[in-house]
Amino acid sequence: MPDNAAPLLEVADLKIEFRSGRETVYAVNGAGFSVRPGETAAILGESGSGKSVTASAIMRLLQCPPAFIAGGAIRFKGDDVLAMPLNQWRRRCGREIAMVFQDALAALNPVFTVGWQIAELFRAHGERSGKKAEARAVELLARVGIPDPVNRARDYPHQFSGGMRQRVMIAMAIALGPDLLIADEPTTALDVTVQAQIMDLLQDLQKEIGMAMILITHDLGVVADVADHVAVMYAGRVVERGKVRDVLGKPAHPYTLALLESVPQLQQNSQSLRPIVGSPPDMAAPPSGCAFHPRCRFATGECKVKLPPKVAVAPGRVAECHHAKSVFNGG
Amino acid sequence: MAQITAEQEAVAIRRGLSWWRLLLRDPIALVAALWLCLLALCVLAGPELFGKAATALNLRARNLPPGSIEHGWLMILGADTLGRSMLARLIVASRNTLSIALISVLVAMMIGGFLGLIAGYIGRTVGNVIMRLSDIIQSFPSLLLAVVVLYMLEPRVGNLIIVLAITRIPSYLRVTRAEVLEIRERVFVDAARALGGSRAHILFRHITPVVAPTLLTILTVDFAIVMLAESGLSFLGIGIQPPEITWGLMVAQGRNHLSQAWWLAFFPGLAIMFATLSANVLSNWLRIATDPVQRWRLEAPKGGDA
Repeated sequence: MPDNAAPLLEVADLKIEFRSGRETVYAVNGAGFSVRPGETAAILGESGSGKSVTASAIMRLLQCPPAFIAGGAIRFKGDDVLAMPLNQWRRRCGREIAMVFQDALAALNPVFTVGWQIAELFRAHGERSGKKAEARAVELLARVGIPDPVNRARDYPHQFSGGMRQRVMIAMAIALGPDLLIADEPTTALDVTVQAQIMDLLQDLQKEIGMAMILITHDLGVVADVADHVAVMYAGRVVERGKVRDVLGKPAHPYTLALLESVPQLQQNSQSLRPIVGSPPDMAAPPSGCAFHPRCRFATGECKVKLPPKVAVAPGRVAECHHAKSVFNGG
Repeated sequence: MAQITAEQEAVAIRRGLSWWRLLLRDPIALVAALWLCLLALCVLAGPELFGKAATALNLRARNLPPGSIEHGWLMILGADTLGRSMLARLIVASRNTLSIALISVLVAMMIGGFLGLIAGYIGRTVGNVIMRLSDIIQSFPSLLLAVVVLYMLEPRVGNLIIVLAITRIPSYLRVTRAEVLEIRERVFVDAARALGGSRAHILFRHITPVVAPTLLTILTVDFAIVMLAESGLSFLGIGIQPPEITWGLMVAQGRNHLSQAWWLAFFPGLAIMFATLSANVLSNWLRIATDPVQRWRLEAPKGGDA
């Protein structure tokens, strides 16, 4: 994929707050990344880092209030998503952009058969003939690898296993051949072997349809396997972004470095893991300066008072850290 | 061999048994359904078949106690103070009683449910206006409301239905709104939105089917309340006017003769009770049968607590 192609989705300096009573939670504080057609971008971060909120904001699923988009822009195919009338955006949802949720059981309506639900998607998007819609649903179930699709279409979500359910969810998401699929921790609720199958399925479908994918995850292994680009999020900011191989191979942000050090590796001989000390910040009262400084071993006085600038350590590599260059070179 | 058949049955069950077979498996629900069918027959054909018998006076059979057939089998449940057959009158009264009750609860459910959906899903100003309207209806004593309205309008069947429906709307409205408030936060609603579902689509295709069983349950409970409310209005003389009869009116009239002829109030009361009971039993069965997650309870083979 050429690096200079126009981005399909561009998130720039996105700021999202949740205001409740006296407290304001700064969930996302200036996240920026972009996805080009056909490529896979991963958003990597621990719980509470703002990755799912960002995804919901892109799909415009946030309840406003309590959520407020305090700043920034989301552009999809050049159109400003946040400024677009909601109806217009909803019409494009499903056709051009779709989403896979973490918990497929919760994301499927419990009172309808899965065949009906998929067929309903076609009907909602203009298919007149109910028979045709159902036939397409069965076809789709077969395509995502559900055995005996004709009969399984008549089953309800609770009658499927976790992996099969996620396949159904994926079937619905890709039904209309979207250009961009947002997968919000699609494999977190599944066991490891099923995770691998689901990721393979997603990659196969991605190639077949030629869609781009945003993969939201906290699993470094999955990122390394499937993503082209990665944006590492911490405390609502994208602290580092770049090509996956570069970022994971030679991190420029202390947080990425710490993440990598906390993962067990086969090659390293019995070196003990180095966990990240402390806990993620309370986003109602984020730390001054760089949000990572209380847990960072590179932190200096500057980090406590000044928000780090975006440092371009290499072509296509940006890290938000005062010491990015030294981490990049020395880490 | 036995295992294979059990397996085959399990497969057949997973694919869903027909409504018929499901109903046959639950004797209590079956009895309730049969009873309601019988009542439906009475409603449809009763007044045509027994209209004459219900109004024919037989002064020799005045206050005839139930259990004797010397005045014909129609007198099996006794006769009233004018010697009219209780059985025939019960059958004839079923049309008025059940149609008033059924239509008013249905109307209340549709209006209340619809407004509740809107109040719950759209919320804000529209929702507030709807909820305050419901408060107004609720803060008004329903009997007083009925008396006022029926005094101004004529006490006809149609007006009675309107009054009874209006007083029942708030309960549907509140329950629906509460359910919608919960359901709209569920992930599958977000998923439907993320896949391009419009507001109306989500409301009617995704939320309504989840709320519907609850409404159905309230409907059957309300069914009894409305029948009793109607008898209360009849008792006050602003409900159904004689010579039209309803079960409620029969109870109200029989109350005066309770010490000499208990059957005058007892049998219509029994009819109300059985109609309500079977409606409740059947709705409970329906609620389980239409819930895909609960349905196995009806489908599971009887015997042995697996």
